[in-house]
Amino acid sequence: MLRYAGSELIFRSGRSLVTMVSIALAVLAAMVLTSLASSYARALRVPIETVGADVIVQQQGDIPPKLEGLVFPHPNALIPADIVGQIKTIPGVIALTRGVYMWDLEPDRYESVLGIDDSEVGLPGLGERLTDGKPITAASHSILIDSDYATKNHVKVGDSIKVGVDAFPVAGIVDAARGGKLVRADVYMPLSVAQALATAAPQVRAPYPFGADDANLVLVKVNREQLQDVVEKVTALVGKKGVVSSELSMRQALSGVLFLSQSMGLIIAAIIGLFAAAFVWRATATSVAERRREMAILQAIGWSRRHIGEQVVIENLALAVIGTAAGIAVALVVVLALGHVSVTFDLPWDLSSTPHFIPQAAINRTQTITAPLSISWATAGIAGAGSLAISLLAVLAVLALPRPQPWSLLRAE
Amino acid sequence: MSDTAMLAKSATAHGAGRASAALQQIIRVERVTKHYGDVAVLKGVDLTVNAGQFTAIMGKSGSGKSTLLGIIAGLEKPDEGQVVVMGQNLAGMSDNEMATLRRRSIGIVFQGFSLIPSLTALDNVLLPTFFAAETSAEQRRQRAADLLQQVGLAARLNYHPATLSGGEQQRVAIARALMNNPSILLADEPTGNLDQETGASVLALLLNLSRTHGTGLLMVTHDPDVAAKAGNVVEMKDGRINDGHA
Repeated sequence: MLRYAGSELIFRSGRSLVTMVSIALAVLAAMVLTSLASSYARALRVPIETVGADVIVQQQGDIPPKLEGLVFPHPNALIPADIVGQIKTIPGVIALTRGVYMWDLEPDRYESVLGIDDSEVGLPGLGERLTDGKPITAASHSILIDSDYATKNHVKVGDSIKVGVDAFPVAGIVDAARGGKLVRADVYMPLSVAQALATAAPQVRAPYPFGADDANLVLVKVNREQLQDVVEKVTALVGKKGVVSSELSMRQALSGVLFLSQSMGLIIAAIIGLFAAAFVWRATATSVAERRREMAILQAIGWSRRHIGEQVVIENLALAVIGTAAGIAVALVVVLALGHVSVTFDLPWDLSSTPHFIPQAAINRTQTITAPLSISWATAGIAGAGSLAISLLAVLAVLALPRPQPWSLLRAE
Repeated sequence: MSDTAMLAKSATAHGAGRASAALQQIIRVERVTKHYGDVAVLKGVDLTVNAGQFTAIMGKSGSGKSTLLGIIAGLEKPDEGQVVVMGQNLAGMSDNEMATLRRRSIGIVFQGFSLIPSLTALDNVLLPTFFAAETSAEQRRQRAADLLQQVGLAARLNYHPATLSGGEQQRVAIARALMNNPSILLADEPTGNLDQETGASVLALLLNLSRTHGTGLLMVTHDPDVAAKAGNVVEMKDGRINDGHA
């Protein structure tokens, strides 16, 4: 039967080719689109993942009466301790890091200051990016400074820097750029120190009743499968003025690559799959209609209808297997040839705010992220199973159609 | 010899001596009727064919002879009556049982050459034995090659039908019909699509091989010269066996 199937597929090479190409295109589209989509999704996760979190929670607030001394930037208003506590209890939240982000606006200088707690994403994470000096702990009264800031202001380990009204010794220098461009500051200090500074700062106290245990920035690590759920719950919790950043908000902000999001990729692949299914159905129906007499001959020489059905099934499944294999092979070549995807975008100002009224404080927010393309073998498996199922269903549906009596196709009269 | 003289008393209304004849009967048709829409094609046909004989069914176009052959082959269902082939009543047989009966006991040659265009001559002859587990693939191949040699196509084993002449294609069809060593060959105007010379040659081959292989032959024809070679001749007219000649 395999020999017969092979002869038949070669004999009807045009139709075989159309069927195989239809299947191959559907498999190719499914694999390349899902590969692109997952790579873009991976790229969009990178900025926030490099911070060490999946969700960044902020609150928009008011402008202080005077822009002097320590102030909270507009996107970093008060997040009360009880709200932070409620975020912690949301199902899917794995870990939570609190921070206090401030600008120190002095007549002759400007620094961005980040106080952060000693969770994994906080001070220990900064310690990993040390280029000089020693890390700090929650109990330290010393600070870390960004390497760019250190270079620009000729500051070295052991010097002291004034933040607000207090001077702090520099314990170490960190390469903050390795952590991406989000939540980046010139000066890093323990959370409790920053909280104390904020509590005492007149221009913080003026718009907000900031307490010693409050924060204005929360980094949340979540179970990725529950990301959307967590984002929705946090958004509901922080209200209209809340800014909840994640790969989901990145995707929304980057409408240029939105069409390649995973769900859109699957929808496009499904539409192409439907067209392929229609082609396979039509090719099968035409082939069986053309071979009615041939099938009657087979019946006349002792083949049962089941044997004939099996023969057509073998032929269609062979086309599906070859088409799927060809689709996977071409997808591999395409993915290897493309290699990776690059996404260039301007990161939201909110996530690393600098005072726009101080030109020298501006930082370059453009970031190009490269993510490797890789084949999803799960998609290949689903596409392969789908094409086999479509081919099988097409044969069964066509064979189930009413057939003339075989003798009417064979008789002499 | 006139047409009438050629018609032998053979096939119908074998009332007497049925018990003894049953041993030799390979086909028994009883009171078979068939309609296509409102048109009655067969009107109560009785026919008996014995083993090893050449029986010709004659009649004009539309007389019902091809329909009768199709019903005997189990490829057409009668409206009424019964057909018994090799002792098996076709009524109530499943598609699978019918296929097995055809595969083991019946060879069919059509007017159209009826070869599978994608297969070589050799593979076409092998087709009826695709499901024969009792012989090895090599034995089947050897038999198919022998049969093609017997029909004079030893040099054409790997030719596809499109590269063979009409006469050669019909020879392949004859070899295919004999592949399973059937008890009966059913032939539906087997020379109808051939020129006179080729037709005579193919007919001679068919008769010779059926005799050599001890296979009965039931042939539908409208050619008196062909019928003249039959041991038994049945004439059909308007859907009935013409008893006047039986």
